[in-house]
Order: sequence, then C-alpha cells, then structure tokens
Amino acid sequence: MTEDRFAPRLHDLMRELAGNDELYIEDVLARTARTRQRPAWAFVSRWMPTLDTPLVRTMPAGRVLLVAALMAMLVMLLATFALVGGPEPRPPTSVAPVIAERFVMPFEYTIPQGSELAATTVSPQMYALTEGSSTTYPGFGYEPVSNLRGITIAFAAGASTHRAGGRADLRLRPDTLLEDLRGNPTLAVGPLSGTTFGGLAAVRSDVAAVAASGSASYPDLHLDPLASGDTALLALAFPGTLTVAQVDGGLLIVHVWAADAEELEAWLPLAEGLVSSIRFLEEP
Amino acid sequence: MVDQRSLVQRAQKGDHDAFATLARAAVTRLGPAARLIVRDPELARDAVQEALVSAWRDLPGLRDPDRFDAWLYRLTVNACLAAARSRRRRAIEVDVGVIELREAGDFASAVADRDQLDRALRQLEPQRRALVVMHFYLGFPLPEVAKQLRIPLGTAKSRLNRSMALLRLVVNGDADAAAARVMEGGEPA
Repeated sequence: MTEDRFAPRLHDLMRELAGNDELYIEDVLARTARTRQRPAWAFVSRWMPTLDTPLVRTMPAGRVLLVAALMAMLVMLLATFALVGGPEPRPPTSVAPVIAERFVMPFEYTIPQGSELAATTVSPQMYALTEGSSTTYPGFGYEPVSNLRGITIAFAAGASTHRAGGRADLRLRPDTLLEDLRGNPTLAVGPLSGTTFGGLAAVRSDVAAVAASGSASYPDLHLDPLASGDTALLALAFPGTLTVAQVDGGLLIVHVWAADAEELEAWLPLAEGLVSSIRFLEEP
Repeated sequence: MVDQRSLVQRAQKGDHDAFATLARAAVTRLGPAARLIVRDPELARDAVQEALVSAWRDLPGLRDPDRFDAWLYRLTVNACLAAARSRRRRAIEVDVGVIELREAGDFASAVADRDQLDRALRQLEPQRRALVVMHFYLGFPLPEVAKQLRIPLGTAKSRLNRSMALLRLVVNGDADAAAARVMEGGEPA
C-alpha cells in the first residue's frame, strides 16, 4: 500500500477506533454555566496588541524570544520597585507566625518548632506544607508524590471527582462533599464528625485508598477557582484526613496525610496543632 | 441560519446558549480526537471537559472569532497531553509489551485492522499520537499542526514520518518488520 492510499485508510480506521460517546456534553455545559468568564480586559493580548503584529509574526523565533526576554526583564524590574516585601517567606523552624498572603483568603499560621515543613503556594487556591520533595504542575495541580507527610489547604468554588462512568460534580456543602466522595471507587471515606477550622464549623473524615482493579478512576478532587484561573487538581495521599468548612463562595478543604498509618498517628497531633493555629487575615 | 462567527461573538459577550450550540457541534469532533490521543475514555472525557470549561472562561480573550475551531482544538490537545502526563505519573495504566502481531492472512478483517491500529497508537508517545491525530484524523495541514503543538515544522515532519512508518507497517500487516522495529526500540528509525 502506498502512502497515498494509506492515509485515507488510516483516517477511516481512526474514525472506527474513536467510536462515539458524547452523552456527557450536557454535564459539561452545566459546569460551564456555573463558570464565570474572564473579562476581556484581563487578557494581555487585548490591551497589548503590538505583541501580535505582522512584524512579530514574521520574526525569527530566536528574535521573538529575545524581545520577550527583554520585556520580561523590564516587567521584573518594575515589579521590584512596585512590590512591597519580597518573596513568600519559607516557614522558619520556629514558633513565629508565617503568613500565606497569596492564598485566596490570606491566613497566618504557626508551624511546630523543629519541623522541616516547607511551604508551596501551588496557586491562589492551593497551599501546601510538606516534608520531603513535592511536585507541582503549573496550571494543573499538585501531587504529594514522595512526601513523608504534609498538609494541603485548598479553596473550591465547585468540585468534582471521578466515578464509574465519568466525572461527577460534588455537592458544595462540607457534609455532602464528603458523602459524595464515597462515589469514587478508589477512595474510602470514613464516618463524618464535627470539628472547627479557622474559627469555622467544619466536617472531618478519614480517607484511605481502595484498590479498584480495572477502574479508570483516580482518588482526586478537581477544584473550580473563585473567578479566573485554571481548575486545580488535588491528588489525595493516604492515609489521611479531609476537613471541609463552608465559606462565602465555596469550601475550604484541608487534607492531612502521612506515608503510613503509624506515621499518621505521630503526625496528626502536630498537623492538627498547625491547622488549629490558622487565623484568617480577612473574613473568609 | 446563524453562522459560527456570530455565535462565537455572542458567546464572547456571555451568551451561554450560543456557547452551548458551539460546544454541542464541536464535541462530536473533539471527543473522538481526545479518545485517540489519550487512549482512555475516562481521561478523554476529562480532557474535553477541561478544554470546554477553559474555552468558555477564556473566550473573551480570543481576538479572532474565525480562529475558534483551531483554538478549541489546541485547548483540547493540551488538556489531552496534561491528562496523559497525569496518567503516566500515577502509573495506573501501563502499556507494556510489544505489539502482538497477527499473521498477515488475518488482516482481511476490519476489526483486526482496528485492533492493530489501537495497539500501534499505544506504542506512540502522546504528543506523537496528537500529531498523527491532528494531521490524519482532524485534517490539519502539517504547518498548522506544528504551530498548535508549538514545535518546529521540521520536527513535526520528522516525528510524523517516524510515527507513520510504524503505523504503516502494522496496518499493512508487515508483521516481521514492525516487530523487529518495536523490539529495536519502540519506534521505527
């Protein structure tokens, strides 16, 4: 078979192979209907059209990169003058309060003395405190791949998870979110109990992994942002706990985990001490 | 009949019904493309969902409404590649082993061809699958595919040639040659 005859055959085979399964579009549209559009002025290309001129389009890639690098340096220079304060402080190994100012609801907290916890602002809706290495995926999410133990604090204006047959939205209340998570076949959610978080009433549950052979589901939460920005992925780690509190516009989710049950038992008192030290700097 | 350009312009101003019309039309093309790239129906649904949510959210930033289709495909392909990366790092599904090649005489069956193509596609890296799908399934010219995937045109040509060599061997039933190539390193040189 020559290439000329092969290509159309390949197209037909691909069409057969892909099949047809578009029944989920109404679920997608229900989700987009709840999502706010970013205003046009928020896009740089809209108010800096000079970046997309025929001249730039015909420039060699190297020169475009050079121009972009010079512009980036200029922006950084201006930012240096404009910013009050420096980069986000790494939590010291002391009892001094640390401020997480880039989180959607800025808060301060105190880490346990002697702890090696390091802070990562994954996005304005996700803040992670971990021991050991962690992995962030810009624009996608965060996964505690090899961490010994840690705490993730996340905000969700909407949430969904995987279920047999597709992704499903979770009802946006602390108790119903945890109840609905039980629909994820890779996740075991324990009994719910009442607690507090940052002065807010909250619901807490233990979470553990379930080996779901042959399942295409994953133990994670997809979290919608408050306004603009990418949907965040919170990949859960086990064993651990989930604490959920209601705030204006969504939910605050606290995920505490450790490498194994024994480690979690040792970690929980320290982690809960840190979580209970959280004080929101603005009304959540 | 309302043309696509005016639907895009209405959707850019927040008309969700206009966006729904665009999305229902697009999903019949996006869904199969995503399934071919990701090779996992669940992740493909996720990728299409992510792409459509991003499209709705960022639509006001699209400067040329006539580029809506190309823009939406780029969002979908990026979401597919992100989903494929996520699957790889979780190691839930691992494709192992070489292509189980059938005897040449069995290739009379279309089902067998499809099965062989499925196995061959799984041997390709997700970005190469995306390249093959965009060019041969969605019909984008190669320069447009290179632009969408943000790779040089020469790289796109080279990757396409290597990918097609493997697919051609498998689908044409050149079992010995394909098996040898796969055993040598996964893809034909």
